[in-house]
Amino acid sequence: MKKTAVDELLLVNTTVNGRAYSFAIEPRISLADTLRYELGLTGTKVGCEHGVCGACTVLVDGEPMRSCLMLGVQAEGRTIQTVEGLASGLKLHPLQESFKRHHALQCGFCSAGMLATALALLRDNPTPTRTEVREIISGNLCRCTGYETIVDAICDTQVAEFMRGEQRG
Amino acid sequence: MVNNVDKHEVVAITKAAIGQSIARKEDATILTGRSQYIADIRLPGMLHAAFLRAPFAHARILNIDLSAAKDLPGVELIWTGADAARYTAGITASLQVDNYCATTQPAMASDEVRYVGETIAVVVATSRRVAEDALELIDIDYDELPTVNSIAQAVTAENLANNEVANNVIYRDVRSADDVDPTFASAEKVVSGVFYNNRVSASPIETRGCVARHEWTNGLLTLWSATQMPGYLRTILAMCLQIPEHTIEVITPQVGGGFGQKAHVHPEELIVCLLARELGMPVSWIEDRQENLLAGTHAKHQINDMALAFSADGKMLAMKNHASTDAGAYNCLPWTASVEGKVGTSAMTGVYKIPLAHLESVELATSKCPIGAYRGVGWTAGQIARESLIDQAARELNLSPFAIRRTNVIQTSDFPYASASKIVIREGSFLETIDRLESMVDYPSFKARQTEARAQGRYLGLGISVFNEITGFGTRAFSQIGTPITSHDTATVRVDPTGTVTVTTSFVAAGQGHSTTFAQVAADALGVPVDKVVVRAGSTANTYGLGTFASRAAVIGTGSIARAAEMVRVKIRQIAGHMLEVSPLDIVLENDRVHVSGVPDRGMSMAEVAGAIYFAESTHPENFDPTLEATATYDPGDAILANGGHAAIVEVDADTGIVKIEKFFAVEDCGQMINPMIVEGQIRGGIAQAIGSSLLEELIHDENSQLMTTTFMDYLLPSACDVPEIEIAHLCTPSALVPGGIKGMGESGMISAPAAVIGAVNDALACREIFLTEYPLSPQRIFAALNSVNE
Amino acid sequence: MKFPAFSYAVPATVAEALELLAADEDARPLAGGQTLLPILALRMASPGCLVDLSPLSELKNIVFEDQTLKIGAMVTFAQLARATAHQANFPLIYLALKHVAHVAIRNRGTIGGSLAYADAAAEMPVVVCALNAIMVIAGVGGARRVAAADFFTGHFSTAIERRELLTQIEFPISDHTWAFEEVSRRPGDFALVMAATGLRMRDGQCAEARIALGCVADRPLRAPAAEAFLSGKQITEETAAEAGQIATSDLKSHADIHASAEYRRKVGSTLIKRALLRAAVEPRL
Repeated sequence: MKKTAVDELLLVNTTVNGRAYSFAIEPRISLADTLRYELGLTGTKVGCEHGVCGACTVLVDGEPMRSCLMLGVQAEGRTIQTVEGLASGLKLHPLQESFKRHHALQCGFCSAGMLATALALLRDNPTPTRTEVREIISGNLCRCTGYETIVDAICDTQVAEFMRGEQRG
Repeated sequence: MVNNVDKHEVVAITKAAIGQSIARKEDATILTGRSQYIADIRLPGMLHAAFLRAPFAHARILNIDLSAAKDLPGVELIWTGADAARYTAGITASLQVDNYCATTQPAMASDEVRYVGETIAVVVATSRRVAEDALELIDIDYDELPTVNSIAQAVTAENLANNEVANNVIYRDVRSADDVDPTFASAEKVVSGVFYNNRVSASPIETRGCVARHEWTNGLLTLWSATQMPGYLRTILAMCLQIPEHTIEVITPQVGGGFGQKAHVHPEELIVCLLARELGMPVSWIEDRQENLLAGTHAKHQINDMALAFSADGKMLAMKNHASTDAGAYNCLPWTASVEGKVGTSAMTGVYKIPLAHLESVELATSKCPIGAYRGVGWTAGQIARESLIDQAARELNLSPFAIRRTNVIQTSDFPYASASKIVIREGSFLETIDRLESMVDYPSFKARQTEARAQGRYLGLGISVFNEITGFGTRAFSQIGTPITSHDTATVRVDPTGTVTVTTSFVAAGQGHSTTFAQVAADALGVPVDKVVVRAGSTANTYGLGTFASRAAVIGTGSIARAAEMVRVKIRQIAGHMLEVSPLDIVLENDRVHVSGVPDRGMSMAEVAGAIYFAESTHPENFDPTLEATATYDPGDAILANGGHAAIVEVDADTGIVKIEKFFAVEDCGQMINPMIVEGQIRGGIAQAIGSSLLEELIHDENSQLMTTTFMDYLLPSACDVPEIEIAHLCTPSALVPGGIKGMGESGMISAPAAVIGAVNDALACREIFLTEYPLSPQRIFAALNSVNE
Repeated sequence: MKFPAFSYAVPATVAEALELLAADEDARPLAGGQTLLPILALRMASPGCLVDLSPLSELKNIVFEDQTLKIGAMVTFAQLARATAHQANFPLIYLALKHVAHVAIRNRGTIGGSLAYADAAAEMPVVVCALNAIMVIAGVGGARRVAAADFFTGHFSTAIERRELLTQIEFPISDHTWAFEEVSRRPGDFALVMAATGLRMRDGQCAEARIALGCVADRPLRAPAAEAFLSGKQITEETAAEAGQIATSDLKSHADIHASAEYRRKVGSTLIKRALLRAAVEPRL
């Protein structure tokens, strides 16, 4: 059993976007701030810091979680995917392409979290109904789009085709 | 040939890219997480600020003990209001009209706090978390003062919210003073109501924030701010901080939504600049959500006491309205408290021929956060009142809500129509809007469904709302609504040596897609493909402008880009004519080529012409000025009026008070659309906010003006389950006043859609003789109304 | 809105976690953190030490044995929702889960955390009351078992003592048919009111009814008088409505910014009626 002193730094080993990181942080720093400021991955946005808006949603071991409601030290041993890890090389992920095609973003502040939530859904179910999509993304607030085009982008047939190939067992 | 004097000039523009739903140029950067928002900016040595905010709505500050906070490791500096007052008197805001009561909000309060959330002290530390730790160690003694909690309390003037504001009256206005009483006395039908609009927050998902850096060696101050108005902010910083304007650069990074809340100069921006100069280190302040709900400007808090007189056949005869605004403790800058009631009154008669009107407004100081701009400023509350009463009259006169509106709407043959609320209406497609809405709704089948549902004990309702809105706010439009502001916005267009086009605009974006839409405009203005245009915005190092708000950018951005491009076109046609030995007037620019009109082969590429101008003097005519860039301003010659309408079908669960929106319809006429996909995005987004403000969102204060809704757990933004699919129809009546016939848009959802939602709920409950006038229509309010009727 | 400073401990076993809690007056267990961390972010609490329970795999089991579903306290809502094998025997749990927050919260939030926090507007407290669940609470001296009816002692307050941990929740199997009704401002929000009802019918008549109400008081409530009233009756619009009336007539409910006490009482009554009517037509196992 280990116990830190207050403000003592703790060593964390974690994998983010396929890359291994090792760093020391105060336990009180949220995973969101850890990603943004410790690792420089500022694509993860922080909109409310109390778990409601969903902007900070990232994939932890493949599942969407609020990075503002996790500690950075809880990334220990986990595999994390952020918005920066979505495109491969210089090619956008089909879901990103679909968001662009359907005008599923305006200011873009909710997009990283929206993509994370949608991606996890599509990995389980490449062809969700519009109602299912609305339910799943209802924990991600968007103030710009009115959501309809986000639903369009997630239900896109090209996305479905790609995700069928990626589907997890 | 462009006239260098006439800033109102409408330059002809050929449409090729304009009107296309081109995917946005900015999206790939955003979607990969590479866009830089304000909180993503990290400068070497940057420190972090956190503000101590007033816990009471009105109190005298007796003593501030900073000792424990100052001792905390990591704390670099703590300032109180007195420290800030050494450098700035704060923000004075007024409107240049007679008898307007100016207020001065100190950059931080020093003697007295006047709303919960007002800044009192600021801690600068090595991290935001340490700064927040230090805030908890600051000890302040207060002497609580009586608060002014409502419009009703403000009117009594028993207590003052701000001693600068006598009787709590910031401004009182009579916009229209027709003698309506005889008409009301003799009218066959009078409907009236007192409509209590809720106080809301624009709540962009990105909060406010700014980062300042001051370089003592050359005196340059750089402020990165998530602002909609960098040029104006720079001027105000110069004035309020006594810093020469040319030494200031304001940079707007990627902005995570503004909706008007970021179209103000905020006291925190002043403080952060001063702190950076004091410390010689960059200072960042990123607002948290609680601060945003407390102290980002609030909006829409009006009471409208309205009456409408009708003839027996449903003709509107007269309107009476008294609008009161719960304005908070200070005027916001630049809009002042007049942004609600006074501005709203200008649109009160809307698209209807109402011969007589008596329209008053009063802005009242209260012990709350200042009221400010939020999408559809001022107009939302009045629209709700008017459209609700029209529906009420239709029910009582046994007319359909479409028919009664058709009877009264201003028609094309009436243009120009001087409305009773003193707007000259020269354009609009109001009748077509109503007809289109009626067919989209399929009114007969809705009525049948409603009747059937009622037989089953279910409550279906239809609400409609028809609007017009002034867009593209320039000097003339500001003047028409009674807020004398001169607008000044420029664009620079340059054709580069290789024939690509660089556009610089002062219109920053917060999601509106200007990089794409302005490129479409510039591409057509110069006859090049969109991908050969880049749009640069976001720094005051470039062009100057008032800012992105009030649906200005499409109109004024287009106008200024078109005018600047025309100046460049003149040069291109001049040299091409010389090289091709034809008159410059016979030269056209299209498809990336410059050629003789009607003879595409007789010409050359844009790159060749540009190259000749930059690099081959031998090709130049005599006395040729080879400047291939131009800066132009544009100020619309009149108010540009867009219009449209909304319809909502809802079902109300009478047992629980929960409203389910079944279907939503929108008709929009913004003239020639630049990019229909982006137009529809603006419509949908505005309607989502409308659903929020009419059903969910409410900033609730207790009896001491303490805000109760300080998190997103209590301030409820609509989610994907609360916003239905929206069916959109476009009417495209081009404006003669703007190049390309473009009108502004983007605010219609928040102007008019709340009235449709509310109208639909009232229609659903009309069979129970319920007419709800307090908003939002929360389950609690609907339940209470149904149960007081029951008992 | 940054978390205040705390020390952080990662126990390897429940025993270690209990030791850590016992050793530090100021220590608090951290389960999924979906409630505690917002409280910290808002600086409404500042525990000196967080004892992170997330590595304790012994608290993450879902086991059906002895006609009882035993759910470890650190089982997340998402994990529980995926364990669909138990849905047929314990439909109420799964009906209620549909109302619990949003996917990202369900992936991290735990059933034990929700119960230990005892927010009157949360779903799980109502479910354990309706199902007569047993809370297993471990302390340094051993475990004790507390019935759901005795577990909740007020808003945000339970029978768990400071040095103890909720480790497991045991749901005895029931052959009732179940329904769950909730009203919230938006889907996934905390409830304004909720009701869970279970019916065991015999020859078209109610042999046993269970009625639990949530968010109408400082803790979840059962409605024994209404349950008794239904005994031997058919479930009709009238009897269901009357059961709702009986269950709520003496309620001293609370008001907040979203709902008045009157709203909670009357809508509570409506939800009971709706839930009973639905439970009555649910197919029996």
